[in-house]
Amino acid sequence: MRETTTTPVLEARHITRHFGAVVALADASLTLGRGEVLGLVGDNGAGKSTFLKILSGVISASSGEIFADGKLVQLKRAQDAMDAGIETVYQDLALVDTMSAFQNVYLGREELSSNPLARLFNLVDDRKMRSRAREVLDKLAVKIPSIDVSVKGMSGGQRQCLAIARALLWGRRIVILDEPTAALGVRETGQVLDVIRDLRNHDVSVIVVSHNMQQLMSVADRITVMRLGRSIATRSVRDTQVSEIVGLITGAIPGDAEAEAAKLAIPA
Amino acid sequence: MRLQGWGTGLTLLAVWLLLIAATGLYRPDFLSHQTVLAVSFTMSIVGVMAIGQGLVAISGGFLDLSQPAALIASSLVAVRLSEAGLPFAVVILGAVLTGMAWGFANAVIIVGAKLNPVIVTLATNFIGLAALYFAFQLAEVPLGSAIHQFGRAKLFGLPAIWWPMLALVLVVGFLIPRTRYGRRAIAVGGNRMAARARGISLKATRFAIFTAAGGFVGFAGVLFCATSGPFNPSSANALQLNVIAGVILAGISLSGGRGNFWLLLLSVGFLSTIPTALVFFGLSSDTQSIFQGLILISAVAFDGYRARRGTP
Amino acid sequence: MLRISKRVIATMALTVPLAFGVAWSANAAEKFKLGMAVGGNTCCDWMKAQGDVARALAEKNGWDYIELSNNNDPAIALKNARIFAQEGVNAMIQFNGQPASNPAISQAMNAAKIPVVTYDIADPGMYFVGIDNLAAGVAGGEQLGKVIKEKWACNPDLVVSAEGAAAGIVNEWRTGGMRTGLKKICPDIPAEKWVSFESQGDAAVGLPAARDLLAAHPDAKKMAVVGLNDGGVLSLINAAEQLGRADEVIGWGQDGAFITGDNVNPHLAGSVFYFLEGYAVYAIRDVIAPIAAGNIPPLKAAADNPASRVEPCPVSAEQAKAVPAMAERVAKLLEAPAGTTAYSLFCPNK
Repeated sequence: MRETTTTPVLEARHITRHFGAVVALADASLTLGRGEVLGLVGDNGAGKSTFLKILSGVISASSGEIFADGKLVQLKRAQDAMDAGIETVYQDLALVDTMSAFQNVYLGREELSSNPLARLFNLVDDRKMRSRAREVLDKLAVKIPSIDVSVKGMSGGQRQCLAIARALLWGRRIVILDEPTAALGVRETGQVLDVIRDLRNHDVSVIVVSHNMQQLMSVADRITVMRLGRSIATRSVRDTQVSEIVGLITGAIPGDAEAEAAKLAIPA
Repeated sequence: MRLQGWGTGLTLLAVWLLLIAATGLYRPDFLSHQTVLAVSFTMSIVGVMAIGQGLVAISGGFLDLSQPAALIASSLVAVRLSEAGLPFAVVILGAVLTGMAWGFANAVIIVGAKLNPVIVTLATNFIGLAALYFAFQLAEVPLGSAIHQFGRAKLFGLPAIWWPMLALVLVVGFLIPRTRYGRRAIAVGGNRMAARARGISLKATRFAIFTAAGGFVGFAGVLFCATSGPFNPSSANALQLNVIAGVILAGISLSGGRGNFWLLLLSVGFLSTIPTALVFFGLSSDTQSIFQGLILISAVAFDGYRARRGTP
Repeated sequence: MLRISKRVIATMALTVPLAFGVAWSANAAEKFKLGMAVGGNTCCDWMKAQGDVARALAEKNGWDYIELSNNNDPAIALKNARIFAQEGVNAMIQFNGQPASNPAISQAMNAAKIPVVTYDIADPGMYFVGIDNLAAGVAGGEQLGKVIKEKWACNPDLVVSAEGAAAGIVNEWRTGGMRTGLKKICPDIPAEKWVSFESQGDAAVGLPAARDLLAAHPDAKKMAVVGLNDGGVLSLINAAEQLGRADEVIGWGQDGAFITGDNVNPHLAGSVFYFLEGYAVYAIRDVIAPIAAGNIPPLKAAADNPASRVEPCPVSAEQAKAVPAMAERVAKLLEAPAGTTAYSLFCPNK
């Protein structure tokens, strides 16, 4: 557990998003500290996916501010988020089945050859990419059959680990994981959770969206709860229990702002 | 990966050799330089068009059905430029640029209106043919001009028009899997959402691919009018089926993301040998169409089988 | 420049009468109305020219004129005939290169009591105007035979026929007629030397099949080529050039499409002109004008007993040099006195 005394690596303030008349996100904020794992939870339709998409630049916010390392950033495209050091791992959209593991790891950021003539022809340096990919996978103890074969035959856990390893390899400081263990078996889930814990040891901050409370409690430092398009509460895992989080999600326990309003209401 | 599709390649080679051997046994005079010439002439134009079609397929554009009209438009420009007495290099450049402009226009519609490339190119082919019919009824390169002589010249015993096809297939087949651009095009074809999430622009890729593919059709237009004699707006329609069959047989997946362009040499070579072999077996051209249809169907079935198995 | 100014004049020539036509629309009901369905196959510029000539002649006669294109499609040809019937034309001319729908067209128009002139492909219910394709084939074959007899003493290695099966009976008449004509001059060419391939009547489309045929007859050097049209014959000549075997190829075509101008292939020894662009002269002179005047001529529907016969004009490449290209022929034809045929104006070999 680390204290978030320094500037947060990522901070989102009062983000909103409308789709026409529909309000998908009414007021969402979060703070992510260095080397921290933050869980993001909420019922279906609470606005988690919209929030994630805004943080990864896939869609843009209607209003609100995002700071990376204390600096205001505009995330209009996926590339903007990547430039800000944010890597998002989607469950289904992560990998190109017809390409090999190391090609997937380097997708969109292929290393060009150092030979000037080869560079002129835009040729890539496969040897370098292969060896660095292998290095990083070893570092995270990710086990895959071969980095040279197509990822199509790989298991869900292997694919997920590969996508996460990609973030580390690219020197990302923030990784967003959307339901990383949803379709995985017990053993594979354990493998993915180990990799997430490992990321923290490499000074990478993580936001994890998950429905599985036990899992979140075991891997996250803090949990931010969303309800009806708002971020309503954030709890340190140390100071909370599954029952409180579930109560916040369902509305059985009021969120921080509501509690505040209630307190103000009583004396009147 | 480095030997992607070698199984497909060996199969193609075996089937091709089998066809040659069977025809040669039935009619020994099949194994002649004349046959080699007949096959390699046919192969040249289809081969260059297949590079363009392959680029569209591998990047997830499925098919460019406007190739016949684009080819004729490029050929027409080549004819007009050579009629004006311009140097051969200018003639080639004009045709290639025409093809690229055509591909770019396709991309503008596909990207701008967010439409399915197959439907768009089907429509631009129709529109293009109609527009070409207004532009001309018959065209032919001037007899004795540089391009006309090029269409009849030989180099090392093979048609002069065959060698640029060989060079282009080898170069494109080398570059696509080994360059950043190529790999991103393959990624877009393999899983466009994944590619987009990695910051690869789908629009830019589509523009680049369709424009480049058009350039190859434009060059095929040079080879076409160099050999064709007088042609009219619909003279290239018959090439479409062979080009598509060649791409599929080579294992360049119509669902995108997979394929080795070098195998086009085998698939197009095999497909160009079939009609010649059938003539030696004494079969009429009606049976040729049946054979070509059957081969196309088996190729598509094979492509689907490979896609399900996920063999790279 | 010249071409542009011609086009401007042509546009004006078309629009001025059109403006008057609008002004006189009150009288339109009494005016004779002619419908023309052109073939609409992109292969051949004469199909478009057939419509241009018919339009010009109709305007000279002060008739209303409607033109539709059959798009080389039998179903569209039938639809066009029905449109003409709805529009109330007094007579109709068609070129239907896909004759499968001719019986249906014939039935529909007979029911509407609208006389139909059909070009070149006969139907029992329609006035036949056109060439006797068989006679045209024979005439071309005889000319080629004379060349073969003189050069090769009637002993070619191969006689190749460039077929176009889609043209149906016309293909059989023309290619069969050419073989018959050739045999008249050279009766002793053995059967195994007669071969054929499918050229689809298009020089570019037929090229691969032509190369294959040549590959399958690697020893043939002296080759005589006949065909459905000039394009088909040219596909074999071009193939022979590419396979390095054109030295002794002599072709004789049909329809004269590639025998005029300055780009004539030296191996195309001759062709047979029908002057297809000028068919409307025959149709209007012998059928439509009498109908418009109230003297309906008897229905002559057979190619060998036609309502109006177009004479085939076989020409050698040498003679063809004196024949102007089609655009010029159309212009001269329209300047000539009414009823003057292209054959009488341009055939050097009458």
